[in-house]
Amino acid sequence: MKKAVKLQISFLLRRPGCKLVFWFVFLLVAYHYVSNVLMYQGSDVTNMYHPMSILLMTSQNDENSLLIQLLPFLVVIPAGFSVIDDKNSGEIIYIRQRITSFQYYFSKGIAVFVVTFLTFFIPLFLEIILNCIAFPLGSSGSPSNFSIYEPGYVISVGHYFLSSVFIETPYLHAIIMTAAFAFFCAVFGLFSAAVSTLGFKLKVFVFLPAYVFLYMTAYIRYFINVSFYTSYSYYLYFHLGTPYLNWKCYYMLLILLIAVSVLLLFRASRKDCLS
Amino acid sequence: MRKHILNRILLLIFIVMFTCLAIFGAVKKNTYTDVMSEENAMDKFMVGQLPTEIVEGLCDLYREELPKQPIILKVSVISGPEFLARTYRYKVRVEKIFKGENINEGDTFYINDLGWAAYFTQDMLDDGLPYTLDMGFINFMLEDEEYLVFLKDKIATLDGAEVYSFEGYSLVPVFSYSETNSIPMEPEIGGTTYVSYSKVKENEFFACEQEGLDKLYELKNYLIGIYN
Repeated sequence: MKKAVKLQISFLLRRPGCKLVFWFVFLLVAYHYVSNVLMYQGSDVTNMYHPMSILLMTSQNDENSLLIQLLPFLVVIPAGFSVIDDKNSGEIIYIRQRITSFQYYFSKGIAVFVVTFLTFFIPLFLEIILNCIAFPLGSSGSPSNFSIYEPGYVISVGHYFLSSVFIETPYLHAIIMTAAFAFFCAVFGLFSAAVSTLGFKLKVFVFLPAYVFLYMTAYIRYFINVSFYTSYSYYLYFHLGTPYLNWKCYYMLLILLIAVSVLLLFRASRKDCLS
Repeated sequence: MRKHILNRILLLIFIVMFTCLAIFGAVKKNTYTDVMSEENAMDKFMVGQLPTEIVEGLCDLYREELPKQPIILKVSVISGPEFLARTYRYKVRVEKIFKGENINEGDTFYINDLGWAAYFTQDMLDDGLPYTLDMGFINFMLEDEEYLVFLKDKIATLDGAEVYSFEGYSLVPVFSYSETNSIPMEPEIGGTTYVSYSKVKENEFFACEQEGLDKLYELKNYLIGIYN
């Protein structure tokens, strides 16, 4: 199984979809970073913002608006088509000769998850390193321009996800939030690949599950009376100081999607065995 | 084979690009200034002074309201001002408690007024605007000196520091126990009360006219007379 996962990962990493999304995210990161460097050059360290407060995903900006809008498609491209590609190319027959159906589908699931995770995590993690190199580490300002003792700012930071980690070490918080963002993408990559085992004939249909699901999150509030933001975009910013986020619900939903994906993969492996 | 070469080229482009971005950032990092660590940094700043008509009302209000503040202390300054993002603070030691709960003599903590700030950006300098200090019309507290302070309460902080803050009056209620001398200064910018900090840096209070300063010293002597 371990060998099968390794093989699947190395195979997916060589696919153009994975490289395409990696480069897209990296170029967004590079553009955002260069804009920041040019914007803040010559500032004073006392006024300068904390390097972890000006990351691509920290708060709303033009670059991450583009990323978030395209995310329902981007999460699928690195590895979501892999099951359908294997079937269309006939590669599944060669692979299945060497491993069982169960091993194939579950190694595929793990590989899709890992590859999608890395595709988003690596470029965003590199931005953390770049910001540490380019901006003064002693700065403590926030783009809100509040003083650090301003009650409004203190309350707002208290609403960040894992705010106690942010207060202790903003760098660790940035790494965790980057991993959380990549985890979100990986879950939807896995979900798309798992749904594709239902037997889509056309590759374009693989985009549908993630797209419909994520699109619906923006509108579900109008149909169900909930007191928190449901749109996925709010949960992807690292520093969103609002009490209207339900992190428990968000992570339960992601875990539910993983469970559904595992069930779909299990179903596909059983179906293959029977046929 | 061609695919293999293409992959290598892409990897090389990525490494070169990342290295260039890092070098670009490292070079630009040298352009950051640290105005506050420069010698005579404050000489670059301007500070606002209280107009006499406001001083009169303030002194009457303070005589009535300051004794009602929840925390009244004689403190000595251990260190400061320490400039943080958009504000500054002092570390003080409690020398005597006139009023206040859960505070003991010898306790050390920070004091901060939300209005205390030093405003300066490169844009301000480029546009010919002066750097400005918001000091609550009192000068910086001096290390090892003793002050009478009227505090409101302990505030919530993000860095875990124990910080007490003031009520939010325009004149921050901090009075030196030492004999001081303050001089009035003509405003340098029309329509404002700003003067160069370097011209009034020996002051305890900042006021436009002698009349205003006299009233502030009257208030100080009255309060020091009560809380001594």
